[in-house]
Amino acid sequence: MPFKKESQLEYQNLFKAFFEQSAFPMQIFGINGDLLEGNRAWEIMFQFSKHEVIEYNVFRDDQILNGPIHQGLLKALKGETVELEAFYYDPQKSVNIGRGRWLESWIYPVMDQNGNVQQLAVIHQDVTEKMATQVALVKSATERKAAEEKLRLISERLSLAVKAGKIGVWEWIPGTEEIQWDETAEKIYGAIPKLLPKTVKSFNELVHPDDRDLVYLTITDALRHQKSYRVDHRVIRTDGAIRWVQMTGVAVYNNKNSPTLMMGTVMDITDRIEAVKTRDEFVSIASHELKTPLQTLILQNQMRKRNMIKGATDPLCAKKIEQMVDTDLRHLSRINRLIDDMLDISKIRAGKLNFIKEEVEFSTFIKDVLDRFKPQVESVGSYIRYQLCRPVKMEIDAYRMEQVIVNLLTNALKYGAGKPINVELIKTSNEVKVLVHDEGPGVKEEDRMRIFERYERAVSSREVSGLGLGLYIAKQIVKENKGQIYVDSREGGGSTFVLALPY
Amino acid sequence: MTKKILIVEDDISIRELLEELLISEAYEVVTAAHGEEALEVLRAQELPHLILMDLMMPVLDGYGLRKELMKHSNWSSIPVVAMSAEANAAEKIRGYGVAAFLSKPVDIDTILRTIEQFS
Repeated sequence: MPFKKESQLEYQNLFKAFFEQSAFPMQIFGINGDLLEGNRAWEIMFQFSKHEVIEYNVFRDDQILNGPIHQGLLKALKGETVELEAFYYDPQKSVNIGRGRWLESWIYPVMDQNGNVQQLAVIHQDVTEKMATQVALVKSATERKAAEEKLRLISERLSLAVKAGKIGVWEWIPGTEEIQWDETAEKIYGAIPKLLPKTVKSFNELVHPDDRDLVYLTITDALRHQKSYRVDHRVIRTDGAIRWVQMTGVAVYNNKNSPTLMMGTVMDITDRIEAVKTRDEFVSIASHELKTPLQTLILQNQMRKRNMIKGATDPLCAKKIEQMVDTDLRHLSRINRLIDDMLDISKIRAGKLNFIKEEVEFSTFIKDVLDRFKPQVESVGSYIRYQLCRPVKMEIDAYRMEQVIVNLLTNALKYGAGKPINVELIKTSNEVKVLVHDEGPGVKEEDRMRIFERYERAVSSREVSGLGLGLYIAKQIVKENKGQIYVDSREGGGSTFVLALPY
Repeated sequence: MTKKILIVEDDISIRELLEELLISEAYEVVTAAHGEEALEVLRAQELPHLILMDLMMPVLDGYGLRKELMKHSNWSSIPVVAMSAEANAAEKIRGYGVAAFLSKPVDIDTILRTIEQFS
């Protein structure tokens, strides 16, 4: 600001007026750093009065020394105009008064006509609000990023951990149409990508109509309370199959409490749901099967007592008593057998089914089993025809193997009552086969594997009694003996159950 | 007047014992092994005063039989006493309008009292 000699005074007055009234905070420093002047705007900005900082010297201010402002001041003393980038200055730290502000400043050297610097004029711009917004933006962006990053890490870890399992991962930005889900989720939903675009709309269509309200309410409730959620629901896959899935989800929220990102998992829980259903059915069947013979025993014995009290002579005759005792024993052994089956199941499940093997001549063994079973066969009007092979010595658990044969015979009687049962023993070069053929309705192709599973049966429980455990137990025993058991059957043409044992 | 009771029960031992019991109490008894047989009996004979039926039966179960009975005006008014060894039959039979439900195993006194009450 070089002044012309003749107008110097006029100019100084003008400058003073401008300096005082300017909306820009301004200060004048001497070249030794003493504060000479500060305007009104400057006082307002720092919320102090210039009289309170009259002793101030900028070169003795620790906040300024050795920083970019100090550098700027030194440059200005050499005659340069200096623009300072935004900096924070807190007068509390230097003069114990006022408030801290963010400033963008210019330093102008004031020179005499010889070009010597006489004073330094500093003009400030208060950028505190702008900076605060920016800081907040940076901060919220950083926080959100960190939260998203955290979620992403969880999701990545999860997806690594569950790659072999059944858990799929999904991600959605609320308000958008597109949902991201991984390969596992895609498999769970049974989605062929082209058939099922990854959109909110197609997701809604996947959810079973009866479960849509549940899913919608669960998610909206979780979002309202900013908590995670878990919901079990059915989906109708693109292949038409209905599966049970468990979906979990969690969201990231912005400072207006709106969800900005949602992600979660999806897991196929059909097997678990069905296992529970099967167990419930089993309990119901077991109850029915155990209570039915109990009902007979109770009725029978109460009748006996009634008749005796009445003094009827008929029930006391030996033949009648023998008949009644026989029925009682039959029902008791039925109850006992059911309990044994249930115990075997729990032993199999615990891997505690014990085998005591001994050397047995298999042909004679089969004949003995058949003889022992004869009364039961005759009681339903059937008979057994059998054809045995030459003697063959085998290492087996006779008790458990008899259980298998009896299971097959019981089945043959259940389904082919009143008709003959054919039993054949065949010896090949490396194995012995027992064939049990009945003339019942046969087993449908699609049921031939299933009937060896736990709690399964070829027909509904109403038709045939039993727990549906017989063939499952038989299969486990045969497996332990390294053999095979399967059914060969034509629907309507009877069934042939084959037990093959290596020797 | 001798009252006629129709017993519908698939388990032969139970069926025969119930028959013996009711005859000894001077009831007239007809029996059926399942729902379908029961309907045949109803079509062919004079109507019973009460039907004592099991629920879990082959061919046509107790629930199905009860539905059939409701469809015919002269059958729907016959009192039905249901019995079952099923775990949750007591809940399942609600809404079928049976006179009574007996949970198996049930004793003779309860059977006789219930039949006496509703026949």
